[in-house]
Amino acid sequence: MKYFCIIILTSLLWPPAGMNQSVRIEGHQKDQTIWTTKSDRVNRVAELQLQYLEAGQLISRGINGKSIRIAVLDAGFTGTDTHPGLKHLFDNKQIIGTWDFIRNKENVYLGHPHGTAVLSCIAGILDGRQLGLATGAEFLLARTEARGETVQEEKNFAKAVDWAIENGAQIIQSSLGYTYQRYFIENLDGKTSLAAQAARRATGKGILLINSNGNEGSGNWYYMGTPADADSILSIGAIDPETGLAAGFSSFGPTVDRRLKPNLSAPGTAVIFSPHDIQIKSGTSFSSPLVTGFAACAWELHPDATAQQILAMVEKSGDLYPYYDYAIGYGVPKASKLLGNVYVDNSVPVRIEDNGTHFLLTIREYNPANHSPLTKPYLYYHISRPDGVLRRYGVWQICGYEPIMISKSDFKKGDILRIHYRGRTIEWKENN
Amino acid sequence: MERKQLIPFLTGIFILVLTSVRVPGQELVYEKKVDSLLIPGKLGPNRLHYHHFIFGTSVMVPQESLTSSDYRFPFSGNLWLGYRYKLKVARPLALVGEAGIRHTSASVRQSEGKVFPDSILHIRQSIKADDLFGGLFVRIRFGQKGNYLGNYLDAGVQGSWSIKTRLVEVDKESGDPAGWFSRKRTVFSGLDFINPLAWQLVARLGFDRVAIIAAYRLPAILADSKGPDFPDLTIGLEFSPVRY
Repeated sequence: MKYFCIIILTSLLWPPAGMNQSVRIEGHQKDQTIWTTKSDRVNRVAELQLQYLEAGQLISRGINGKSIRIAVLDAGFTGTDTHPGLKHLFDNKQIIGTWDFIRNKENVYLGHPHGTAVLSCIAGILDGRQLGLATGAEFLLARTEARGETVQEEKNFAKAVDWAIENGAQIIQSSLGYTYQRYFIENLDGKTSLAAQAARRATGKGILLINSNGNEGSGNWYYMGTPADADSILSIGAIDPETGLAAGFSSFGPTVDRRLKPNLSAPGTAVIFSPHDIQIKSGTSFSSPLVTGFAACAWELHPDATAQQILAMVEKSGDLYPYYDYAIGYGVPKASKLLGNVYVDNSVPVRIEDNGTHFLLTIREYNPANHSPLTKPYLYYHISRPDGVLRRYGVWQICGYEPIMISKSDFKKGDILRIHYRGRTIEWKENN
Repeated sequence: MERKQLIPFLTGIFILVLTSVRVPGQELVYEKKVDSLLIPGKLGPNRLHYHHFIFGTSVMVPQESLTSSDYRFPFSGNLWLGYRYKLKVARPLALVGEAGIRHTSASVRQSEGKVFPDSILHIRQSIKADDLFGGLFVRIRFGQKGNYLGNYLDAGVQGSWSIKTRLVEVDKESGDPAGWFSRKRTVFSGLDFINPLAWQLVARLGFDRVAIIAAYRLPAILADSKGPDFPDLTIGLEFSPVRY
């Protein structure tokens, strides 16, 4: 009897295995991959950065942003005029205009090479492989920053936006972001900062502005910078291409007036061009131009659309749409959704029940054979107010058919629970 | 072990093994609560309250020639580690309080005719003190607005109390007149010629995490003018390891 009690007590105290262990993972670097050579890794990253966007479906149709004019605002373009991966832009006379707002001169091929890296993610070609989706677009290049986001440089950004408007830009791509050195969190209302005011001018003139959401996700600032807080622009977060989850550095939304940011996300680790080489770098600076190329392709497909119609089209191409959260927005835009090549599956992969204190989610579909970095089995959930502002959101990695319990502690009358799993979004409201 | 003891033992092992087998379960990757966010707090580098660590170093600047002063420049100076609190009272104005521990070392020049602290010529001779310090400052912040330390000018007073003093001498061993291979180190603790209480006027010009600091000490360090006093002026750098 004595032994029996000891056995029972020990087995009760032993750490339980399986059964919804809550593991909070910071940085989402769960899967470590070892590369044998630098070129293996370059090939791998270059493949993933466009595979997430299903670029093959656009490339095979010859869609490359032809006739779309993109203004790139950045800190410098050293190497753009000499790198072989961007040579086609000069051979085909796709660089329409340049201006250096620091020195008030035309030559922008100096200063920081950041602009070259960004341009490579829009229009770069590496050994015959595209690194960006808009290799056929026209470009305006503007240098606006020299010392790192000061007051004068924010004014230069505003001047460059006006210059882009005057020179017929349809899309403005910017990876600039102003945060704690200029503003407080409560200034992120899309109206206060000089940069956000310039962004509003651009959207008022029918231009689509696409901006990096920022890399402050793991710092004290945590949120997007400005002008990423501006209304009616696309602010782009970053995902880790090896996991498909939000990259640890990617800034979060929403804006202080609770608007959805980021709008979308794209791979935040990319192959880029440095002045004399190629490198692999991480940051929302490189996810944003991938979406710029995607938007240019969307506009080529719908040349009569307005900027806001293209914005809506690109948002609806998000792989999570209509689901969203403040880490990756509507997800990564997919060419299949843009082209309308989507198989509609009306089956319900998750059953939702309410036991009063928790939502019980029963998994109905699980297929580990389909796992890959692009199709990892994540279940996204959020609890939203009736006006769409989120109270809470999260991601579960599905490893089997074990049910999931989601607390109802902050669920109020009129709120909505949304689940996104395996390409389908399910809503739950009271009186369901 | 007897048979009737063996059965429950094996049963227990079996249960333990079963409960240790990992059944694939769901993993919560992340979860964010939004309602509590985006409320501006009162704590931040340019908000009502802020506090952070500081550390720095300075050198004593002799009033006479650098090569002939009683204490060797730049081998005489301070190292400190402390904590600072800032209270913002108006947009450009703040009050700053700090406390910490400082290590002072004055390297005595070994030259003919030396009389303090003794007349013997050593390889090295240093007067060292460990102090607790505290200070009060007025800060004027200028430059860009934004939630970061920014550029600032601090002016104020700092007081200190020596908790440990010592005289450290390094000499040649008697059997090794050249001192190449063996040296001896002698430490005399509890120096009675050091005034434990000192205070100084301090000015700091800060550029975010780095500040240039100048301090001018008013009372003498050496009690009863027992020897040449330490230089009054020290100049150095201070670092604030602030994370944004």
